Amino acid sequence: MKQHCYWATVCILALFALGVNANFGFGEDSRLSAKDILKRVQESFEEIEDYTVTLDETIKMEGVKVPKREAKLYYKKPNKVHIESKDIAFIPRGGIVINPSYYLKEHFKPLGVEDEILEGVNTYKLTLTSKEASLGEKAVLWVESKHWSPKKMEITGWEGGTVLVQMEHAMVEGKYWLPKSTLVELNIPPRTPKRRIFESADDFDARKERLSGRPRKGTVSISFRDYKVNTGLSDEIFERKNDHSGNR
Amino acid sequence: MGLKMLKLIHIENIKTFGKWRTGIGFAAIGVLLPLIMIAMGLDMRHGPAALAERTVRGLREDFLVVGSIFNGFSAAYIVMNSLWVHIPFLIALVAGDQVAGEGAAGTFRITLIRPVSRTQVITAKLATTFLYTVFLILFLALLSLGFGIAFFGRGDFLVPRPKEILVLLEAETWLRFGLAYLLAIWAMWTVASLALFLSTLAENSLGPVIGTMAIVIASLIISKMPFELFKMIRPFLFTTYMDGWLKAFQDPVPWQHIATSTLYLGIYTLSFFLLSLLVFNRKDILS
Repeated sequence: MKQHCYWATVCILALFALGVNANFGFGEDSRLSAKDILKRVQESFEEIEDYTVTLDETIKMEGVKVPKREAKLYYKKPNKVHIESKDIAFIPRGGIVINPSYYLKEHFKPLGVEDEILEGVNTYKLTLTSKEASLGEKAVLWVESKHWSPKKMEITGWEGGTVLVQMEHAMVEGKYWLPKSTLVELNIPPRTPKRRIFESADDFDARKERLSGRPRKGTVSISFRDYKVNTGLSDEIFERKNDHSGNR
Repeated sequence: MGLKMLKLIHIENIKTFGKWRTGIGFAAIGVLLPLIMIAMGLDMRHGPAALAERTVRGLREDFLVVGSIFNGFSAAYIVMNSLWVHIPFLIALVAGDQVAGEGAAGTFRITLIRPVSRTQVITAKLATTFLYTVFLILFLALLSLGFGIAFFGRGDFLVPRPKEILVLLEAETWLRFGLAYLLAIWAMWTVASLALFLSTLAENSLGPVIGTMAIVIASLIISKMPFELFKMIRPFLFTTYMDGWLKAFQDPVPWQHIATSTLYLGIYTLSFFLLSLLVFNRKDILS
């Protein structure tokens, strides 16, 4: 009998140990709420007051023929961004989101969180819904649990369009975990105007044909290099327009 | 080309470039272009600069547009649209006067007693007209690019196209403009040879100028209107092939289309020249 009790205790302990091991990697964090995770992502940027970085961009999109571009991005806490380029560049808004949790907290409310292993990396998958209809119906954010950095983000628009952003981060100056590259996949259906009150079907069809946009499908890859962190960027930089007049 | 022919062309050049009406084209471009550039600069929100904005409007929702989307190249490109009607008029003004002007002045009887054939005279007049066309287009190129860059700077060129967004690197843009102006010269030579041909038919220069413009405008209307009947006529109109300069800004450059257009325009130019020879060689010089 004693022998049986002994083995039953060993089995229970072993099962308990297995349970702990199975949770290893997420540990107590697996009980974090989506809000907590967003807060941690934001906190991971706390030490970064500002930075400048050079972007190299390649666009492969239907109906868009733009050569490889180089631009300089300036970032200052909490969400000031300024981009300069002597060339014409089209930078996807999703591709340079420095601190997505800032925007997501502002414009989205969390629905849920689950653990997911993404490309061999433990992540938290946060499902969020927009506070305003114009921003999109749903956003999903994958946050890497080790560095609290966003690894992937998918925003589904109200017209069914999706913007998928995949991010790779790297250590900069030995202490800052910042984006190394992003790949933005756009799949946006053509935008159609809405029928106005008192507008006949023929008039609406004519207007729809005239104003309907083109679908936008393709990828934009951006690599980030030459980071300079916490150099004390002046606010004046961010008051400039996001463009640069031609070389005279 | 013999020495006598070169001398004849030289004489025709002196006669043509010495006339005040030859200066009208250069004066018009010289006065209008700076004014156009100033007007563009003052009206960046609604003027031609808005065209560049419309090109990228569809992207603004998902992209940040960085850099200058309107610069000197954009301004020069817009000015190039004058190649449809305005520049042909300035060319017709000179080309239409080549034969009819001398007929009206009564100088042919003296000119033709020289030991040169009528074919040589017409050939020399055509060469002079072509030279004037080259100078006029180069003047337009120099001023539109020069003033454009002085007013709006330079850089990459956002080609205003309705169905795609195309950005050309600055170095490539220079080459594209060079090709466009060459193709423009080729197209304007057709207009010049038409005006010269009409000039051989008339006794005063007003008729050939008006006649050339009437043909150019009517042909352009038929070339652009989307009617089935016009579609059948379109391949026979030289204006259908005058858009080669626009094709120079496509990517990739549609060389096949450009070659075809160039060939057709060449055939028209040669035909108008041969008709001019035919008419002039048979013409009774009565004045």
